[in-house]
Amino acid sequence: MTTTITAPVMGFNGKAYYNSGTHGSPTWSLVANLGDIKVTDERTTKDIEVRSQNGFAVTVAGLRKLSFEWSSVYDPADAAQTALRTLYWANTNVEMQFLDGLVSGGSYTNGPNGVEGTFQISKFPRQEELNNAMMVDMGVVLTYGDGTNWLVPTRIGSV
Amino acid sequence: MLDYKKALAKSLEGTNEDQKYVGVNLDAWRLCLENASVPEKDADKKTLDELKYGAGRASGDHVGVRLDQAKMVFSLLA
Repeated sequence: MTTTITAPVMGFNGKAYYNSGTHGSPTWSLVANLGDIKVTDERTTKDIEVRSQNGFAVTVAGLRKLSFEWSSVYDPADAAQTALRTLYWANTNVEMQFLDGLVSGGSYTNGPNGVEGTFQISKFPRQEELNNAMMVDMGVVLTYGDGTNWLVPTRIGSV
Repeated sequence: MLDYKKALAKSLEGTNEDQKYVGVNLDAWRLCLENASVPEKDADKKTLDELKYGAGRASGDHVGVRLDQAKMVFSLLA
């Protein structure tokens, strides 16, 4: 695929969506009430110590771990936040997309780039600082999905 | 009144086959689903029902839907 990016893509262009529909007929709804998104995308590592490596301890990469964390302004009227909170309380999986642009656009010629997969909401605490707006710290981790294609993150283009 | 068919046509404009999803205005999408004729195939009926379910629970001003399913809905509009 040929990329057409000629300038940095600013973080505020990134979009998060959750699937309010079904797996087969998804309806991706925007989660607009969120600030910085902290992404963890790394492989676990294991050290190997054997004599054949000329005195070096070597490391091999294992499975890839993927998670996203962000903060939202606590808003009981926010439909997306309410939907995610309901899923968290019910311990139900949620299908999400984290894209570098709108699902209808993006930086590349054939749609936005990012990760799409089945996640579990790992945390949903409401922070109540005395002199600040109430905030909700949300986190999602890639989890065991309900479709073969979703056991690992699928790509829309490449990440 | 919102010209939902025109809105969906505009969303589909310029899409290509490599594209998996298309963004559509949520209000227009809901009207498209409401006014779509009943599909002949059972599989398409099921898809239409699922899309109505998803649109009913969706929020925001736009949603992303599968390009092939958006085209199917467009074909069901008079």
